[in-house]
Amino acid sequence: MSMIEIKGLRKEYPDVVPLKDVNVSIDEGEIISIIGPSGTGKSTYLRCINRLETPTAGSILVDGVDVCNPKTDLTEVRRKMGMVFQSFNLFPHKTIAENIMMPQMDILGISAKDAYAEAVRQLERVGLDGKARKFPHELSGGQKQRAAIARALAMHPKIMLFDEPTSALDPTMVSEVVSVIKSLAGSGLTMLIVTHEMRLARDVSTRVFYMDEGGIYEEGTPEQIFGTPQREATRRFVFRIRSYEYTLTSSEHDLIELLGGLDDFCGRQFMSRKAARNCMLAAEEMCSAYLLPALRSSEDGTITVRVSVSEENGEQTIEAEYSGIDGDLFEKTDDEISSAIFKKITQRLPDEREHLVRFRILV
Amino acid sequence: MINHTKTISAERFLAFLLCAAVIIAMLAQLIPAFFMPIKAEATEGAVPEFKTFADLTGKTVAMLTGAPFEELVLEKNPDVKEIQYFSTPTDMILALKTDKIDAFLANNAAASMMVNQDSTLAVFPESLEDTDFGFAFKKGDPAREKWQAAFDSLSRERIDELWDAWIGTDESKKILPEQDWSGANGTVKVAACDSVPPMCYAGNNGELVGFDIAVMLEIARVLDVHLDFTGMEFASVMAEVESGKAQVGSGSFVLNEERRKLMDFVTYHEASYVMLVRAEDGGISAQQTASVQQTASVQKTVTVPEYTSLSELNGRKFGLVNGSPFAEIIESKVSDVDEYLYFSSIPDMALALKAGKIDAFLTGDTVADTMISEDAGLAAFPIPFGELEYAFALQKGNPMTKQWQNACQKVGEERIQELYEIWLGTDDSKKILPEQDWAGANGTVRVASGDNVPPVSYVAENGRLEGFEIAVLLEMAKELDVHLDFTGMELSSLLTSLQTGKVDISNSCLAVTEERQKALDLVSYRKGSYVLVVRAKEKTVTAPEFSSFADLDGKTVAMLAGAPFEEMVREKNPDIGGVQYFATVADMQLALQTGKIDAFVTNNAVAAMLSNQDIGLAVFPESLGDTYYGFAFKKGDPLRDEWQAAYDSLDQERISELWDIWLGTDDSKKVLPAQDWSGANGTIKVASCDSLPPMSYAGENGEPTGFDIAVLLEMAKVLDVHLDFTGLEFSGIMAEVESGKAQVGNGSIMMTEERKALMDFVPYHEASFVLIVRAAEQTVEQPTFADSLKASFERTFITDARWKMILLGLLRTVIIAICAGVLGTLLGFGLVLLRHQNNAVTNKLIAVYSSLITGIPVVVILMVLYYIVFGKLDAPAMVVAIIGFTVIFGARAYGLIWNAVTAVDTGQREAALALGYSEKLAFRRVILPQSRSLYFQPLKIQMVMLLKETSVAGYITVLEMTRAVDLVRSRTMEAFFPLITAAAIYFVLTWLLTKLISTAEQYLEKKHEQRKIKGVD
Repeated sequence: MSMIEIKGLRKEYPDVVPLKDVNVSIDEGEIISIIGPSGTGKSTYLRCINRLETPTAGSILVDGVDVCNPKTDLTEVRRKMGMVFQSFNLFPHKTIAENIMMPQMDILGISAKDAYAEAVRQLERVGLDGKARKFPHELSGGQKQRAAIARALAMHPKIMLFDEPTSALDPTMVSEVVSVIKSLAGSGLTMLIVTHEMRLARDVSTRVFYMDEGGIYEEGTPEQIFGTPQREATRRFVFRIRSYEYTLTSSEHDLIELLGGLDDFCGRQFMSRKAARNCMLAAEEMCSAYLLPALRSSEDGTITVRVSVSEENGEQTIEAEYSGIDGDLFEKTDDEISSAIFKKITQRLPDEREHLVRFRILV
Repeated sequence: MINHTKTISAERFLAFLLCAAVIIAMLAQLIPAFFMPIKAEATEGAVPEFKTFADLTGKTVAMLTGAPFEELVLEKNPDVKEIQYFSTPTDMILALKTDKIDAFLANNAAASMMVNQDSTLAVFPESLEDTDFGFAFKKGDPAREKWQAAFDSLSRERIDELWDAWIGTDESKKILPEQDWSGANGTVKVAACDSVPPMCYAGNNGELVGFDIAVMLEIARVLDVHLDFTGMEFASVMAEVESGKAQVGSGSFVLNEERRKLMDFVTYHEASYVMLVRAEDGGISAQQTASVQQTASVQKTVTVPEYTSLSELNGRKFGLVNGSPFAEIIESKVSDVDEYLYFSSIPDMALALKAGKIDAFLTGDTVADTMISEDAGLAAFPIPFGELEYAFALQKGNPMTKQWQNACQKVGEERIQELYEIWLGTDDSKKILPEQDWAGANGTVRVASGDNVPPVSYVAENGRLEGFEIAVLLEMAKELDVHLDFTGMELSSLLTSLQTGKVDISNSCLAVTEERQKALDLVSYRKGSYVLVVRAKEKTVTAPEFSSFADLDGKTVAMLAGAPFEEMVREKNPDIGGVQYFATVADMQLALQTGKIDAFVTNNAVAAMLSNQDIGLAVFPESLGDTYYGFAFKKGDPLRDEWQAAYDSLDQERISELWDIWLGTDDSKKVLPAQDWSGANGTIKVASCDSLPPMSYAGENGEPTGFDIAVLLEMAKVLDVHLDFTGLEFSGIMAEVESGKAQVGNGSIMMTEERKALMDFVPYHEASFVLIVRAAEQTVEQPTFADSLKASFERTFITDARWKMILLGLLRTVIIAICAGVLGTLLGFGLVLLRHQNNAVTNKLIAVYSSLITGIPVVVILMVLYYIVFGKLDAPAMVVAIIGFTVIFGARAYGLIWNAVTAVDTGQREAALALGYSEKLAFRRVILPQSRSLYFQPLKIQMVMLLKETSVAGYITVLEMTRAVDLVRSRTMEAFFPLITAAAIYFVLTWLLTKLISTAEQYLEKKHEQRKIKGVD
């Protein structure tokens, strides 16, 4: 039986619906990274699991217990889950040791001595053995987060939920937390990590969920998601693709404007001069050779030119999506020179989509 | 983590400012006293030094040169030493003040003005002559007729108007008109005296002004002439007119025969001559500088008996003449005579009394009255000791007794009274005994007479026995036709002589007593009474500032809140300025002293006490009304009749005695009896005013005491009930009785129609309303600051061990504050927990409760609890106060803590929940403890405020510190020291509380820093 079973999860707010219909099944021991753009419901999704948010509809079974059922004793269920927050949420008026001891004593009824021993153990585990008697405000951000992790671990949960654990940390402290999270990976814990750290997601996960458009847009192994994302949005996210679009029509086809905008765009991307030049060139020649003649010769043609650059791997593509034009756009041309240049610097890519032709721009 | 901001220096600075302000206020009170000159001010109408012309014998009288009054003066008193002449009235005034002359003449106008302006002058009561003022014309000058006609054409009213303007003190009215008529009939020269104000004198710019000038200008307007005035000395005016240099002369000429012969006059106003003399306060110049004297001419000195109540006589020494049986009579009134000292004669006793060897002696009124009127050192004790009969004594069984009795009757009461008046009067010329010129056919009777009992029986200058009794005996002897052979002897020997048969009859102002009747035959000839003679002491009586109701126009009158006197006062004078209401007599007294009000109404008892204690106050001579003091009962309560019956059964003398005790100044007598009767008929609750001495006020230990209480206890004894007293403010008493919380109410309540309509009363003493006003002047010796401070301190703390009452008040304040603080905080936490449940119903209830508390003043909440919520229950006021403050503090604590709770970061709750905490547990263990740093300081401040707010608990009769101090204030009749003390004590208390809490805070902080983990370390 899966550890977490989510069916038809829906969360509505008065003006926005971040989760439309989520269905997923997570097994014990899995380590799931949840990635995606902001505002796509990642944290909401995570917080629904331990009922910090209440779903509008749907069911969430955690270890067989329906969290959404009003009759459920949430404290019991929550005990099995530990949560680590973006803003750490340590108890400021207690020492670190007491932070870790308190839940044990209050909830599990463990004696102070035993709780203390456990606290020390966990602190060692996260590399904070000297900090037991410190107050939270005396620790750095990374140390605080590690302490928070220790506090959660002391309860020996089955599931650990991480809600953007490094988002509030400055880059120098991110790695210490990441390494702690990584060290937990082999321990049999089921972990759900909402994160923006792609490296973490890639290194540690068994599965990656890309959340977009109100649900899990695409999921797969890290290799799949980060290597060969299937779906467009996933790709765009994972490769951090930036695009420039311009639509030409039969009646309006201002090449100068297109190129001006493209020039702007290229300037904003971290591209080498050569790459930028090739980009411009490709666009210009493509238009001259193929697009503009096609538009001129048709009555109601529309072509959208899209130039995409991946921040991830530097790959540049240019594509043309068209309608209202018969035949293959790139079949022949009268402008030999332009097409020659074009062909030289580009490589056609296969694409199943109709009325869309894609080329990689060679650098 | 607790935040230590550096507020300590700011607090210290504020404390310093407060102390400085207090000290400055104290000094400001006293500074005027240091700098104000102490003047002797006499009131208007100063009393003249000489009152009749006869007084002027051997004195020097002055008048203006040229004034023909020597004759007049000498006519009135030929023995005037001499007449002196001066050139101006100013000179004469100076001469009078420096004792060079004793009196001078002036006309009525000048005299009025001078006396108005100079309080050291007074008008001699007898006037010299009445005549007219006239303008002088050359004899035979026809112009005079024209002028007379012109004057006659003027309206009398106008002349009076001018007279009032120029004789009065309002300078703004003394303006002459411009001569803006045509003057077609020419210009007339006028010679006018420039130095006889207010008739004719030089004004500010040298121009001639005055009543004369004003009248002349009116005449000139009629005649259409212009006047050209020339000022000169009085003596030159007539010469000027006679020589023709001027046509008219003026100078307040008073017309007399001599003058009329010399010149013609136009009379223009009545005149009379009066003399001016010094005012009675004596020589003026030296004594107007600052000196400390109680010389108010308004303060009279009267002699009063040293003792005025029977209780004062206890423990004293009494004098008796050897053989007199008065010990019994004395002991019938005085319970505790220290000892009797025996004397051989009454004059001896009088001497001993004055020397202090004895404190009083009893004698008959005939002797007493004479002695007292002749000797200012003696006075009659005001309470009578009973009636007696004066008698002559004969041997028991003497057959002549009957005849003597007949003879006495024949002489008759009238004749005896006549003789009485002669012999006890002051006209010695009438005190002549008749010669024994009748036959004496029935023999000679030997008489033994007291030789030293004037005016009754004494040896006169010529060696003969004289006196009232001698005269009576002689009359009787005449009837019996016997001759009397008198022998004078000592009182103690008289009766022995009689009993041994050496004499037949004796007289010595003998009083009839049972014992004597057994031993002797007595022929009584006159009724009289016993008089106890005591020493006299002087008492200065202050005259009031206002002496009639008419004086109260526009003045502010005050009375106690709830007292129904406004009607009465307005009835007497509808034009009073306004009526103000105060809570206590002490407040009114202070307001009167500081000029905020001009008079206040109180009852005769309080008035007597106040004017004794404070010479700055005086009793207004007209009384407002007479009524009775009554004990109040709920209307229709049958209890009233029971109590009325009980009162009626009391001995009126006992009531009088109590009255004297409680209104007297001897505090040691003011002791209430313990309620040691069985109280079988239950306990009655009494609502007593705790701030109206001497009738009903709080004693040493805060228990109600006073005349009212004493009388009530007497009545309770009769009814065999116990009384349970509660002290409260006057305005609360009737409410207590009406609401049923008490059955009887007292507080020197005067029975008025209005009150009788509301409640039933048992009257227990006559009462009258009087007004208290300021004394007309204050010339008191100022004590030094240190002295007055010491006196204040004593009065506030030492007297009656008042410090105990204040200490008790302090204790109560602290108890209420601590209990309410602790319980209120717990209540607050409880409400916070409840609120956390987030139940819609309880949320609403809590919100309503909270807004009620914040929306209603503390005082009102307390009173609502006391009178309404706990009204019917018998809850002690302290308990109600604690409950009330708990409820109030609880709401505040809740508000503070809940605010703090909602301010804690929401992430804390989420972390706790995520760990598996329930909402409740998360709240208790994670949220609430964290909110402490947010609510702690505000809560501390609220506690301090609570301590101070307890000061209003007095409104529901709790004797906490403010009320205790207020009661002391009403006893000592001063505001300053008690209030400053209260302020200081509160300041110290709040400082202590703050310090305490801060110390606790610091301790916790330290503990926190130690990072010790419970259960591990």
